[in-house]
Amino acid sequence: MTVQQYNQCVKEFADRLYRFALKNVSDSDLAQDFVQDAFERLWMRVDTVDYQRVKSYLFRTIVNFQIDRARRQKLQQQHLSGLPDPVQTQGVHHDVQKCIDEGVAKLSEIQRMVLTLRDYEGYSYQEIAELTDISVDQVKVYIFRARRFLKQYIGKMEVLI
Amino acid sequence: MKPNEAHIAHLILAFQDGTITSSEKAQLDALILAYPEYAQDLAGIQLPINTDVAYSGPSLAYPQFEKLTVYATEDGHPYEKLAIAQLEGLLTNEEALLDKSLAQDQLYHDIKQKVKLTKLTPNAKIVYPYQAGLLKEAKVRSLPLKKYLYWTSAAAAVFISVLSVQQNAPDPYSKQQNNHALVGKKESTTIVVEQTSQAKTVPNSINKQVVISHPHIVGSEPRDCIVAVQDPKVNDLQYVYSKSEVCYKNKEYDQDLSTTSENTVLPAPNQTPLPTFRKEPITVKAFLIQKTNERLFGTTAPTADLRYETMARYASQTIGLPVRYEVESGAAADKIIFQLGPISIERSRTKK
Repeated sequence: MTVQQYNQCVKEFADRLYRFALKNVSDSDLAQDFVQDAFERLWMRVDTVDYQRVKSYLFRTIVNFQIDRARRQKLQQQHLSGLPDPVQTQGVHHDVQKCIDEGVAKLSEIQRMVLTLRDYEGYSYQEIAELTDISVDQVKVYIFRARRFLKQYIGKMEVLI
Repeated sequence: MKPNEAHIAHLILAFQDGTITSSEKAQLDALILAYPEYAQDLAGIQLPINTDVAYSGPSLAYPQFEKLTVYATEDGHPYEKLAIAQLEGLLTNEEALLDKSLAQDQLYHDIKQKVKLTKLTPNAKIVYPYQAGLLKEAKVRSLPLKKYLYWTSAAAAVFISVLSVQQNAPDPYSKQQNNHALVGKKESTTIVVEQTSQAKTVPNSINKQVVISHPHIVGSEPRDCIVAVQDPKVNDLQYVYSKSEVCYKNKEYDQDLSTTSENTVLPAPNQTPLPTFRKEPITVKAFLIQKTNERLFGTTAPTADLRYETMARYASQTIGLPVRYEVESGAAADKIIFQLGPISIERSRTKK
């Protein structure tokens, strides 16, 4: 991959990667770090990465970052299990989009990941399976459960509003 | 805090009338949990069952969904499965027809609307703020260590192979030694001939080796590992040069040969016959010491003086201080001078 192609990748995918990471980690600083690290890795392997597959390479990198982060968080939660969860908030929903965002935040890590890959980037089940190292059937099930949860969450929120 | 009596009465009456809402039911459950004495009041209450009331909602039987294959293993209402599968584009032809047939169903319509809302759309206003910092202008600036490693290993392999080839290559000295051995053999055969024809043929190799001086021999001293054996018969040979057989490198002999006929008996050249060598097995340690001495001092068995002089010279060149070791020969005794910077030590050594 040439430098021009690398720069083209930055222009094309930086924002999309950032949105994807932000949706999954809900932390702008962390999402920015993920994007920066992903492109740093790409730059270090710029000679070996195929330009045609650079998109999946970048998203794969971000997915791996998220998986690592989820594992770390799990360990931290085990240590802090006695403390109250400071993230848990009950906000007032002014519109459906916020309600959906909240619902997405309540999804499990893997469900959120496959759903954002599906909806944000339009990846097929097969591609998502390759990116996340799970089977196609599992992808299908995760997406179904995520949508069902969101649909029910929207219904509950409508009642509350 | 305990709720007031009026509210408790309202909850109990609502429960008795069957008009209690879900939130009121939750409050009542919490109240009974906190104050179990109210449970006794509720124990005698029997909810009236109005048999005239009938369910008027949409049909709860879905025979048309019996053949629904999508998400078959998952829990959920068939409408949900159908709506999600429709959004995901997983419907078969039959299921697509079913989806169309339910277009007028209000419940399915509502579920479908909600499922559509679960389709996430990226917010285009969210952009990565440091995109310019990611752009590169130069070629890769990181060191391609792997590449260097490959080249280094390749160079090392070539270097080692060259070294091994050099080590396996025939040593000119040993070649000469072999030639000497050949000389011995040829001479022995020649001597046999001499007894019958009184003419001695000089083997080719002798003339060739007259001009050879081995680089390892310092002065007249051969290496320790090589023992010089002089064949006494070599001096007694009369040499017969055959033009057809001998290939000379020595110009003097070329000139002589140009005028001589074949098998001309010539006087023996005025030369010191070369010693013949034979190898003796030595230990690895001794061999290494020999090689080291050759490298350091130019000879296999350096004297103590030579060692000290060389080391002193090396030290003076290396550390920059005047270091000197010198032996001045005298008539009866040698004077040894050792100097290290401003300090100078002189010793006399009686000659043996």
